[in-house]
Amino acid sequence: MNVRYYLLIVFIAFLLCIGCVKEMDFDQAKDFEATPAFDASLIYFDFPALETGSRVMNVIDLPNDTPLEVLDDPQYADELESVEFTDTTRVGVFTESFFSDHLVEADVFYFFTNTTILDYDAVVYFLTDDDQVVYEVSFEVGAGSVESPAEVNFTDNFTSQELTNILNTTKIAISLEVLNSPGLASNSEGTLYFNSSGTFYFLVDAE
Amino acid sequence: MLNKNLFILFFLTGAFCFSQNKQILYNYDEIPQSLLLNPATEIQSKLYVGVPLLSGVHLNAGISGITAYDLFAPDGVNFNNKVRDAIYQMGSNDVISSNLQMDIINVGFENKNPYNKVFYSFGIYQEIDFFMNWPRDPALLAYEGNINRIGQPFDLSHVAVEAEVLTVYHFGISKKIDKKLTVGARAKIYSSAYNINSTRNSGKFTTSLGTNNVYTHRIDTDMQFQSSGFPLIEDIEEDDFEYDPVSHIKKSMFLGGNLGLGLDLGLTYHLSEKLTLTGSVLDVGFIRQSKSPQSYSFKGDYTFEGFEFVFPEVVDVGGQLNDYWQDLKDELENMYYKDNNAYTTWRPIKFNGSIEYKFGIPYTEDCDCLFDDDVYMNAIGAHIFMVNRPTAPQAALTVFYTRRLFNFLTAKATYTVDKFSYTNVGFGVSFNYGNFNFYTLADNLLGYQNLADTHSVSAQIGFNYMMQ
Repeated sequence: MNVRYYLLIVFIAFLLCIGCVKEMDFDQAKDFEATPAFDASLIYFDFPALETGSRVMNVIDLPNDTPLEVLDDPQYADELESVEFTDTTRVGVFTESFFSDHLVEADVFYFFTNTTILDYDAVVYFLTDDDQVVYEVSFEVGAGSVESPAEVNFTDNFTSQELTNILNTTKIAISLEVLNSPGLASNSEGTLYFNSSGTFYFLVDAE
Repeated sequence: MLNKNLFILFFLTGAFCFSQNKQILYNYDEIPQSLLLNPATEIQSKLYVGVPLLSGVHLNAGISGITAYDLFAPDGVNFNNKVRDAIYQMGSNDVISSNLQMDIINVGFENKNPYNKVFYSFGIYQEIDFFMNWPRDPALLAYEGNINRIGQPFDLSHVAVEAEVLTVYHFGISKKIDKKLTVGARAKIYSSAYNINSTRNSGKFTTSLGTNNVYTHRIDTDMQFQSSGFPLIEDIEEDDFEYDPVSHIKKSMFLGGNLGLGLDLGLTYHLSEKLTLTGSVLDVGFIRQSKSPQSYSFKGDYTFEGFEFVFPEVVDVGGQLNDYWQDLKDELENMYYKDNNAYTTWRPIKFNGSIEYKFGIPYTEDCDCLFDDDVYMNAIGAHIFMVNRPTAPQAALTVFYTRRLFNFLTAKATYTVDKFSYTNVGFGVSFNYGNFNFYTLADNLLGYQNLADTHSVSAQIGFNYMMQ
């Protein structure tokens, strides 16, 4: 029996001793940082030379089925010196609080591929609600062909002040100027392709 | 800003969370609460009355993959490296699960007819149950973004969570059919205060190289989140919003919650005098979640390649604003549904089975007055436990050894293998002093040297008044 009592005492002592939690340092959580980065498509368009032609017809008030050769007529030369198209979209993400609180860097990638014989000037605008331009970048896209496309690629990097500026963006607009539309009369092949994407770097910390 | 306290709480909850295995208590026939695990347990008592609120308090905690100590050890390792390791280490099969059960009332007695022995037991207990699958892919998406996984889908089915706070009213009978067989059943009325359920999710989010633009983003999803008992989101937004969770829980304790019905079934079968089989199925039942139910679902298939500019007619320059952004928002909002319809949840069904071999007639020098003739000193056996969880059943296998040390004290040691640990050693003792019974059971004893570094831990204590 004595051995049993001894075992019992040892067991109770054991129960009292166990149940320790080693010291932990929860302050470490203050150092928490996550740096997610997201790739996202932005704006794209395909603008065929033929479509340019029919838009030009509209500008100079010719019926849509007019043959393109008519554009060679010197009487339209002035009006055709430059034809401009624009499009705008509202973009709500930049003003989201997650962007303003955590965005630390952004890269925006622009890709133009031109298989038309036309030259283009393109300008990308980032606009505020009241149409203030907070960022703009322009491109000269030279003529190319289906066989050997002309490519213009550009990456813009945004940090510090530039980043703060684009956080007010609520609209993105592109204006596209066709510099030599009369050329369309002899060749309406090809398309101007535009792709763009952004890589957005965030810092989420425990502060 | 990330809420630091929430973050800490999240990991602490994980570290001290509970699964549902009660391998030490199962078939421990000295302890009347073992009837809750098998209604056919042959209780060694003619009458017991649990001390109110203290007859059975059970906590069980489990997290697989990592422990709190992995993250918060003061080891000088950069905290973010530890977080990163944890996020990459934990798989979608890792779970955080928890169970807390507290007897409020628990009473049992045997009828007086010696030719038709029936044992009745009834009571009320409070239960909190929580289960979460580690949402690996959504966590990775939030932690590192999509740039390293172009072309690889993020699997949204990794999101699975269920939680319930409920009161259970139960009444059970166990009847000795013959010398070999005892069968038992327990009927339950559930009254749930809170329910969270998001267990049938599927879908993928993929960013891949695009055809019309640089990337194609595709979301193909069928996800649903349901809750009941919580104040409605639209009410919270009201200025005069008031909510008293204590009175809400109190009301639910008196059958004023979401009601449901359930059943436990069990049997004990003696293959021979020494060899016994037991089995039970618990919580075969449902709860109708009808008190302030809220359902949110996100369902559909949408592909986004960016905003396509069409350059509308030149004549409209300056005047026209194409709202491609609104189109995108509309498309996504069309995938989102909300309703307040009642829904039904199934309780997590549990299964227990055991085989036990008894041996060792008590050695007594003077007389055997302390022991009944059929009481053996030792028992060894094996026990299997399974609980049905949203993603897959969780199982645990235990071997045990029970020893009667004195006539007033029995002890049981267990070794359990499950998802959380291969080194789970448990120990339990049951003291009888006069008509009082006290028991304490704890597993994962090896982990008690540092609780924070264990993957699971469970403990149970209780006091009963008993008459032999």
